[in-house]
Amino acid sequence: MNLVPRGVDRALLLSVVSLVVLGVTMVYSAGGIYAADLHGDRLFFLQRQALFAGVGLAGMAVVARIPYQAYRRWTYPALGLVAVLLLAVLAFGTSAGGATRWLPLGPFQLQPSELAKPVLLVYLAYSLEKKQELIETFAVGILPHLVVVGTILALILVEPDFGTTMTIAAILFAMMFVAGTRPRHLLALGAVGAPAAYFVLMGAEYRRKRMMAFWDPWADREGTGYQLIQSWLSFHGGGVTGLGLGNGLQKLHFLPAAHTDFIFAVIGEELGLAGVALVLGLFGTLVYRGARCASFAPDLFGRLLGTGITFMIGLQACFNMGVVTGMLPTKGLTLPFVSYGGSSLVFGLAMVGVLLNISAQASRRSATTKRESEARADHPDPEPVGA
Amino acid sequence: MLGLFALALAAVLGRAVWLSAVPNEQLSAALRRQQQATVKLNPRRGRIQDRAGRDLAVSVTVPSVFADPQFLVETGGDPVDVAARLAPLLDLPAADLAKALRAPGRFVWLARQVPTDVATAIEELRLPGVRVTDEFERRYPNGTLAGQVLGFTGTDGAGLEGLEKRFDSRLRGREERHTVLRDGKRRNITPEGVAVTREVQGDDLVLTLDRNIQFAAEQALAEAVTKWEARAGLVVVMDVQTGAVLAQATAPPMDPNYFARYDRSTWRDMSLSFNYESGSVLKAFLISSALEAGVVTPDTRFDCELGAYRFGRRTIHDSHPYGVLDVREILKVSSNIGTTKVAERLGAEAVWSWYRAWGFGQPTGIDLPGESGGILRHWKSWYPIDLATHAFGQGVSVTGLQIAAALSAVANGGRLMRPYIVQEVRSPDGSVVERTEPTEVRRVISPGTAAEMRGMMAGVMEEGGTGTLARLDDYTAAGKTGTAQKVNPETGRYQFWVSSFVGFAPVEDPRVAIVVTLDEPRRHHYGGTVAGPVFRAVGRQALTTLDVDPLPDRMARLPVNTPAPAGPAAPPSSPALAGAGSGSGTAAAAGELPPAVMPDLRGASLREALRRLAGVQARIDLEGSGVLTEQHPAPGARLAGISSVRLAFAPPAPPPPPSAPGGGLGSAPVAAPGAAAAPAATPGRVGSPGAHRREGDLP
Repeated sequence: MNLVPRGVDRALLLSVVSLVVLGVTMVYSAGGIYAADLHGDRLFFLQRQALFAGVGLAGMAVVARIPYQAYRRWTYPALGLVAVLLLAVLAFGTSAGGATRWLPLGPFQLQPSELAKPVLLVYLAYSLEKKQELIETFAVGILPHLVVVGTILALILVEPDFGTTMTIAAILFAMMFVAGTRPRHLLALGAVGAPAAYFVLMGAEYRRKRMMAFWDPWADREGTGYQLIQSWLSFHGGGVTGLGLGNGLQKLHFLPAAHTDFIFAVIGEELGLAGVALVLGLFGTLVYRGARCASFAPDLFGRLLGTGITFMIGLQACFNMGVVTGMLPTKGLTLPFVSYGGSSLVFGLAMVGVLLNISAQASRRSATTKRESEARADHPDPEPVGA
Repeated sequence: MLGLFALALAAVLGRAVWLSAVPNEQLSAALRRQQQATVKLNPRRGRIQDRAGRDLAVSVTVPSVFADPQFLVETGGDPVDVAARLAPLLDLPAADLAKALRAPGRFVWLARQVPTDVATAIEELRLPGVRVTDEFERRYPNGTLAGQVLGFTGTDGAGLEGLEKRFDSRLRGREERHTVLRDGKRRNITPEGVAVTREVQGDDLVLTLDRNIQFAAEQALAEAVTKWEARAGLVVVMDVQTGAVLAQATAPPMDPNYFARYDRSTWRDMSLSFNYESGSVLKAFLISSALEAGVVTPDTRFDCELGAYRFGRRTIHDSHPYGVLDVREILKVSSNIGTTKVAERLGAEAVWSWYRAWGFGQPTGIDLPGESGGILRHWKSWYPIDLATHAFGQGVSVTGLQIAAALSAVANGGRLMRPYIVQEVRSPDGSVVERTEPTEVRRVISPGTAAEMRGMMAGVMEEGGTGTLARLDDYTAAGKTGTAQKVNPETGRYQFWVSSFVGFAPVEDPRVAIVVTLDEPRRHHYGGTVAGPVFRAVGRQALTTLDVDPLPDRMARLPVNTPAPAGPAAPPSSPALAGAGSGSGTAAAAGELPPAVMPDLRGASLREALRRLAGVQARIDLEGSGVLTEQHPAPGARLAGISSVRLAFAPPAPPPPPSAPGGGLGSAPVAAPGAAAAPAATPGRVGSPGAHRREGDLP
């Protein structure tokens, strides 16, 4: 059986699979020693990440075969599920690093905010498509989305998960913009939202400190600036060619979260500037091909969904890499497909599956179009178009 | 939107280039500082072993507990809580520990040299900032054995006394510094991920000392010190051929494991730091000198003035009055008057320069610290009486080690060897870094003179001599007693005694020289009585340890009809003949001419009979054991042309008490059956105690 459905964007697929493979490798390299200390097993993170990757890739293959149009129907039940799960997190979630983001699930943990991302994307695509006629009105084109997305985001924000909140908020704006909302409305919204975000940001002491740290990590190099300095030292130690896979030193309890949020720094140390360029190239390919697929989607829902997914992945990657290199304040975002984390990887790959389905439909449509035009010239009896 | 995204990627790339590829001293320095650590590897102090490789001093690892208070602060640990958990394990007050844990800085000792199980328990607690490291502790597994020779180290591991001091830099080894990688928890790692565990070691010392001989020496010395209530004592056992020290004992003993519990005065090695007037011991060297100088022969006769000799304005006395004695007899009975007359033939300058030649008045140069050179005043500063006192060993201070070296020279044919105690310095891998080769300081007397002296000193052990209590039974020996008076520093008068017996064995082929001296014995002071038994015990142990064949074995192997240009009795294992090989007549002849006629040996012991037949060119057949009952040929028969001598022995019928304890020196041996047959011209009562009274007061 053909694992890859016919007509999917192979460059897109290849870039994602490459990122996943690189991720599993780097998770082992970066987290092996930490895992040995924490769990007494060097392979702890590797085994789990490999398992997540397997499940995620299988899920992606399945999702790629499901016509994305089917999700329209599940929009509201899914939203409800996400809301319930997020409430459940607040009620009895497990904590790590001062945040309560996970629901225990046997030997694993579910991070509902990762599920919220695709669900909100589907919701926005569905809703914005449905309200296309009245998209330029505030009451119909903007307000419902603000209410729905805002409600979900509020639940995520209180975990707290500021990074995910900001990412989804940005997606909201981007998709409304793509859907044709009046820029005036968006600007007004931004004018209201930005100060709000600022107060949320600077209101909490720990966030403000993180902000300051990003600005001048050396001011508190043993405290709030420690992680960023360690990240910089990783890149600096790696140089152009890197220390070699597995030879990094910063993961030896210097660089916190080496296998999760700051895995990009370990790549910089072990694989050097070359590895950094590779990651950038893979994300570049992913986003470029994703955006291209979205633009060829057969309907507005597909276009919006594809754009949202692509933009979401790209944005999160940029946020993460911006944080790790010290250009953005630390937000606690993972590097998609690369960082350790099951929910993020599985749901992320599922989203790519959607994207692949869109690309498959788009290519078939263009092939059909092409064939139709050719057929008009040569073959009077074209095959019927699928889906 | 794609453009924005491309811009973002470009920004990340630019940033990464700036971080990775652009020189940045701030980052480079921070990286070095946190990832590299300098690890000091403290070397394990080298071992000290005896000549057979038995450990005399070793360093063992002992765990110690320290803390990194700053780490505790950084990780948010609570000093009070940590202290409370440590306190019961370390048996220390929690308050003190908490105080230490709050100290500024990165290092503070919590408890040094704790038991291993405590250290393990503490490690298992995994308390933040609390760690266990290994320190080295010096141990002397044999306790007091050779304590003063070994010396000891201080708490910082530096050698403070003895060999530990002298060879400190060798034993200590070089501290190694390594740059290693460090992880974020400040643990050191090598690039392979393994902690640095390589051990650095100092060099080992292999001594010439023999643990068994040393033990015997200390044991016998301690018994004598106790028995005669002496203040202190020393024994030196030296290999006469090389000058290697086989044992060097000091009493009272000192256990370097607990050196601080001992009085400082017991730390000193008496053998090389104790200056004393050795008394008659020096007569042996004076007479050797006179023989070598040719001013006397063993047969030169002197009038011993019946015990009182006017010398300048003083009168010199003997402990017993003697008439005319030859030099051999003067030595045997230890006549002060006779020795003085010998010295007069040499003159003050010659006596002084001969003594210098024997090594007196200057350190021997042994490889141990704290050596004294003794006191030998220049002859130009001597008063007339000093010639006499120097002759019989008063007014000149020597060390036991000097005597041992000079004695070895007599024993080995005249070569003064530089004493040494370290045979080899070995690197930790076992290879020899330094080896001490025997060093001849100078030839003092000719082999012929030395051979004459050996014979004469053997006479001291005979009936009528002063050294009968020092006899070794299964071995022949030669020796000299010494009983010197000592000035009481409080009164400035000669009130105390220093009693010595010095000698070497076996006479035919000397292997060891032994010096025994007891300082201020109270119950008795004759050197032969006080020190002789120590010589006897140590000598037997030393010769047994060195695998020297006992007398009967040696005799059984005597070659038949050997012309015997040199001693016929040298055991094949002995290197002595080669060493003294210049035809000195080293062995059995021992300085006495072989008898021309068969002596009357009836009643003599096996040893004595053989000694008196020494040099006779005939096969000697032995039968039985005990005292001689039959001999062939009969007494008086000419020995020339006789090819075999038969001697039969049987257990003596009345138990003779030759070594009856407490019998005093002179009287007991007289009862021995052999006494009557003694060839010496001295009357039976002449067991000179070797005591010499200084006449008047010397300046």
